[in-house]
Amino acid sequence: MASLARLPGVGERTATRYAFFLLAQAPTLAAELGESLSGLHTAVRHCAQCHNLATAERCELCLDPRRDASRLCVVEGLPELIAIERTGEFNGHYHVLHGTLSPVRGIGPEALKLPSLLERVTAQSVTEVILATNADVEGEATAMYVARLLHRLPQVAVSRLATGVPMGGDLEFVDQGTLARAVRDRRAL
Amino acid sequence: MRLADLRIADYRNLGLVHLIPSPRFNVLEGKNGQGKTNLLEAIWLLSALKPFRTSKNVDLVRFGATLAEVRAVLDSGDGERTLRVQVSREARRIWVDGKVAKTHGEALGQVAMVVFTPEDLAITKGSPSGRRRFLDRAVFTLWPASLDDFRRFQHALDERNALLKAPGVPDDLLLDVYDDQVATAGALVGHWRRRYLERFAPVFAAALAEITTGGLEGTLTLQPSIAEPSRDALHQALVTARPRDRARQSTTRGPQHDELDASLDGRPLRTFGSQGQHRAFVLAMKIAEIRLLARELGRDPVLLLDDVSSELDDERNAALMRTLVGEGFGGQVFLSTTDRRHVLPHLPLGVFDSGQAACFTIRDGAVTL
Repeated sequence: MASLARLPGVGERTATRYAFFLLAQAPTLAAELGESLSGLHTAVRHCAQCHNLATAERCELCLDPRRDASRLCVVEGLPELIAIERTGEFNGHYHVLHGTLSPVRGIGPEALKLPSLLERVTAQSVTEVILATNADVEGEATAMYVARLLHRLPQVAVSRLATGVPMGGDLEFVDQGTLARAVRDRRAL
Repeated sequence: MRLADLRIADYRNLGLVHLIPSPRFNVLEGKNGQGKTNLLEAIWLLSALKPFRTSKNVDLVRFGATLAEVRAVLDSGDGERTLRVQVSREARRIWVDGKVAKTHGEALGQVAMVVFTPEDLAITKGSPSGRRRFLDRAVFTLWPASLDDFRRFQHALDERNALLKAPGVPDDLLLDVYDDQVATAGALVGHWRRRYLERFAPVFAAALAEITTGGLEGTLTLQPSIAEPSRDALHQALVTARPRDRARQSTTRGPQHDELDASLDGRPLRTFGSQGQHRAFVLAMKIAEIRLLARELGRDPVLLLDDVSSELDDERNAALMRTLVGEGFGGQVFLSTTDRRHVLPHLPLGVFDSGQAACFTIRDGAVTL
């Protein structure tokens, strides 16, 4: 129970429920679960190319021949990768940085997966990089830093996710900070 | 906008408090240390989400409790909303009509408040940071959308300073990035401050002439760290200052060094002002803030006065009360005092009978009518 309670979002009461549930089921369930858990760190690793989760040397997304390898989407972490993947809008490859720059928190460029990004862009025929970091100070700083690194390479186009009013958003209900930014960053029609 | 119902639980020394405030005047009477200021601060939390006296979250929660909470029903005249603020050791959260507010700026725009404490009387004499705080708080009360820009600026500045302090030679490319961010956010901060002062200056000048018998001419002007308010000018200044910033391990140019200059009849108040002139100046700043809010928002702000009457002389106290009671102001007021006799003579006759005033007594963290 103590181990279960260490999981995020699981308190003592939920941990107790889980433990009793497992006890009440056939022993095979507990055994299956245990087996999966003990194999977790050997079976799941980071993709050698994009640092997404993978069960082999490369992840499923990198191995998928239907995906367009000339376009790269750079994300902070796995939740962001999943969010973009869910939109179905992007059919290229990803690059997971596993963090954002923040001198305040002591995180510099050396802590991110940057050398492999530059290597990929140089060695493979990447023509476009989309910087899909968050719109907060850390995400913006990271995007700007990566953009400056990439601008030293000749052939690649770099873009940044747009920010502003959400789809179907009623202007009246958009929070004022977002709206103010959307007004400032307006585009010509 | 008025507080129609107020509930507080475990905020600082306050236990469970439930008030039905009067729509106009609310006198909070209590001896020192009983919780008057804490009560005002709990109300302030609904508009700012942070206390007006700087403190850690842990100090805001009553000893032995895990959460402090303030709930209010706001009456805007054409409908009611509920606001709920919760403070725990880890976080402060706010709900509007039972829904968690996604951004603080959105939630805090619900009710505009102005607070006036004895510490404010030192604004003109004290450090430049106190004057910037006055200005930024006034900007944010009028335009909650500015909050995001101020926070971004502070965050970007913190990152740049951390980079300058980090051991070893700072990465120039990374410094470029933070110069860019500080400049972009800093220009917006400068823009908000200028935009506010443009509107504030004439209202302030009128208020000062009104409360000083001699009709003093006073001005408050922004003395910016960088003369030109553009992003490019700020960026250029940061780039130029880089060697010096490296040596000092801190950002030496930018809106964090702006100064708000106070002058009286063309002379700097700080060196030439008498005690009475300083007080008149601060009083006029507060009155101007209130009037500007009322004019721009089209509704009177809620006023929180923390035992200010004891710090002002009779003449200035009367001037303040005239502003609150007079034709031009109809907003809700919460005044704390050690003795109601300091306050009651200034209120119009019959306000208690007409339900326009209420008196509460605060003792040892509990409030009674």
